[in-house]
Amino acid sequence: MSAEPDEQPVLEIRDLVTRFYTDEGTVKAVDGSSFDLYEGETLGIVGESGSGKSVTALSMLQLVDSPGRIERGSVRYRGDDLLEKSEAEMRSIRGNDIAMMFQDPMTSLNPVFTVGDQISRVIKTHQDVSDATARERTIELMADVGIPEPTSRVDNYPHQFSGGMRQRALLAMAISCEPDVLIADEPTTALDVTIEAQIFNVLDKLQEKYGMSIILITHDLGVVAGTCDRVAVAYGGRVVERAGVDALFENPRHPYTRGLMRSIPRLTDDTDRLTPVKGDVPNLTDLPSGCSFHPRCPHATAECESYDPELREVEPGREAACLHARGYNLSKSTIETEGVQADGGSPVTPATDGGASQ
Amino acid sequence: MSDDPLLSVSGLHKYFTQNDGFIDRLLGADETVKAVNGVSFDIERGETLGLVGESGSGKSTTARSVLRLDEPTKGTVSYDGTDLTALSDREMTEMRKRIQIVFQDPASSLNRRKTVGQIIKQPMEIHGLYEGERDARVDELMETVGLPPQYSNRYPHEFSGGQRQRVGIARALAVDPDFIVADEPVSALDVSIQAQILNLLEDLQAEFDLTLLFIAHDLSVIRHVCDRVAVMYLGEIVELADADELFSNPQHPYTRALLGAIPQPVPELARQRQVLEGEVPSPLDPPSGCSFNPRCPEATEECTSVDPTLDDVAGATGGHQAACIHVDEFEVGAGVPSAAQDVDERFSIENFDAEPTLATDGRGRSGGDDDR
Repeated sequence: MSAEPDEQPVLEIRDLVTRFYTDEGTVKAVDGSSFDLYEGETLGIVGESGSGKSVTALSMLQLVDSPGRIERGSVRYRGDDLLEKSEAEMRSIRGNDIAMMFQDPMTSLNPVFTVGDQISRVIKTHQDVSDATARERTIELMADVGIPEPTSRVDNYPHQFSGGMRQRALLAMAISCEPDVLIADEPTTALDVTIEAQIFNVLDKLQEKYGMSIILITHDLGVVAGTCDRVAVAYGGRVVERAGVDALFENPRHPYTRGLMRSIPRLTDDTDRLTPVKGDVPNLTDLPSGCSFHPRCPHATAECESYDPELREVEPGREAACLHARGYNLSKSTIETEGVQADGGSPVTPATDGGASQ
Repeated sequence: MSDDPLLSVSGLHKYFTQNDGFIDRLLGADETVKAVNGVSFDIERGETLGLVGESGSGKSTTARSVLRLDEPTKGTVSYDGTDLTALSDREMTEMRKRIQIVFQDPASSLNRRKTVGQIIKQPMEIHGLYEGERDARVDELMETVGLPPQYSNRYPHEFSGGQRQRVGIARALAVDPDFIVADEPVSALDVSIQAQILNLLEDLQAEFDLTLLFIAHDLSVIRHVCDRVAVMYLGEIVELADADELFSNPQHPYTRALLGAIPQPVPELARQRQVLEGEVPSPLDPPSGCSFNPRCPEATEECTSVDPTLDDVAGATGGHQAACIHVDEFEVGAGVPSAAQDVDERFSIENFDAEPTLATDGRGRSGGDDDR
C-alpha cells in the first residue's frame, strides 16, 4: 500500500500560497502548505473549517477563481510543475491525470440532463470515442461504482437518485478517464454513516482496480483512520503535522493534533466531560502572529507568539511544525534571530523578541 | 422507570400527505409519508434521552411533533400530566415557557437583523417575563453560556459558529424552561468546538435541573450526552435502552449495523468498519413487515410479513426494548469494538513531551504501513 521513503512522489507540493483579495481584507486561505503523495497510497488531509484544505486542492489544479490568486509555491506532478502549465495544458491534465470529486452531489450534477449523459460527456471531452462507446463505458463505470441496474439507471435524472447513488455517479465521472490521481474533497460529508461506509468500500476497490493514488480531504478523524495510509493535518492554511496513519493516532506530535484527539467524542469512552481545544478556529483574514495555533495552545510560550515554525522532521518519516514538539530541536538562538526577521512582523512580536534577546 | 415521567409520548404519528395542493386534490393524488409511525417513550425528570437515526428516520419530526411545531396526526404527548395535543393555541403558547428548543444551524435560526441581546430578550418579551430586569438577565445569560456580556450589541454574523450556538442556547434558557429539545445542536460545528458546546449543555443541565431530548445522527456524541437512547429507523423506534446498555449490548440488528459502520478514530478499529448494504427505503413505499427487513442480515421470510412491536427484551435489565422478532433472549456483547486506547493519558497535555510508549517506528504494525 504505502510507498517507500526513497521513492519519487507522484505529487510534491511545496510552500503553496493562495490568497483571496476581498473587501474585508486578504484571506490567507493557503499559507505555505507542503506535502507529498506517493504511488498507490491514500493521503488524508484533515482539518477544520478555515484550515485551507479545500483551497489547497483547488490550487493544485489551478481552479482558483478571482478574487483568489495562487501567489507562489510549486505543485510537481511526476516532476513537472503544474503551476507553470497553461490553461490548455491544465485542461488535458484535469480529469485525465488528476481528477477531482466534490462534496455535494446535489450541486455538482446538472438536474436537466440524465446521469448517463453527464458521465458520457466527461468521457467524450477527454477521449475521442463514439456516442455508443461512451454509453457502453458509462454503464460499465456505473457498475464499477456499485449503482444497481446500470443499464436502466443510465437514463435516470439526478433527482431519481438517492444521495448515496448521486455520490457514486460523481465518482464514476471522476474515474471515467482512469486518472492517475484522484482528489476527493469531503466525498461523504453529506451522507449517512452507513452510506459513507459503502462509498469508501467502493473507493477502495476502485483504487485497487485502477491503481490510483488518492488525496482524501476530510474533517473526520474516523474516516482518516479507516481509509488513509498517511495523513497531513492542516491548520490556519498550512500543514502542521505529517505522519503515517498509525503513528499519528498513536502519538500525535503537534499540540493541535493532540487537542483534536482529546476533543472528539469516542464510542468506546463514556466519560461525561470532553476536553475541548480552547478558543475558536482562526480567522484567515487575521491569522495570529508566530505560530497560528499559539492562542489556543496549552504549551505556547513567548517564542510561539513571534516565531512561525516550519514543518520539520521530528523523527524519520514524521514532521511537525511546533517549536516544542519532541524532536523538533531548533536552537534557541535560531528561534530568536529568525523570530525577529519573520516577515510581516505582527505588532506583538517586537516587545517579546526584544525582551528575549537581551 | 418512575411513575411520574416529565414527558410521556404515546403512539405518536405524524403523516404528511401530498394532496395539500389544489392540483393534487384535483388529480386525486393522496400519497402519504408516514414520517413518524407510532412512537412511544418517556423522559424522566432531569434525564437526557437521545433520539438517534439516519436521515429520514423521523427523529426531527418526532421532536417537532412533541412540541407541536408540526401538529401530530395521532397520539398523545403528556407533559407533566397535561396532554399537549389537547391544548388550544393560547394554552400551548403558555406552555412554551416551560419547553424550549435549540436548533441545529445557529446561522439560520438567529434573526440576522437583530442584535444578540435582542434575540435573547425576545422570549421574555413574548411571555411577559422578567419585566424591568430583562437587560440584566440578558447579561447574566450571556455569561452563563460563556459569552462576554459587552457583546450583546453585536449582530449574529459577528460571531463564530460556536458562539452563535451559545446565543441559541442562551435564548432557550431565557424563559427558565424545565425541558429543552436540542435538535442536532453540534452537527454544524467544528470538532474542536463541538466538545465545548457539549460540555456547556452538560453544565447547564446540572445547574438548571433541565430535562433534555437530544437529537443527533452521531452516536459518539449521543454516547457522551445521553442517559438513555432511542434508535429510530423509518419513523419507528427499533431499540430503546440505557446508554451504556445500548452501546455494549445492542440487541436490534440495525443498532448493531449502525455501531459497526461508524469509523472510530483508531486505525485498527476503523479498518474493520462494517458495511451495511442497501439504503433507507422511501417512506412513500415502505417495505412490508419489518421496515428494516430488506437490509437486515438476520431477516427471514417471516420478517417480510410480521411488523414487530417494541417489546421488553427477555432477560435484559433497565427497560431494554427492541422491535425485532428474532430478538428472543438478551444477548451480551455485539457492541462497540473497543481498543486498548487510554485516550486520557495518551493524548494528555502532560504527556506532550513524553517518549512514545508504543512502536511508531513502523516495525510489524497491523496494516503493515510504513510511516512513509
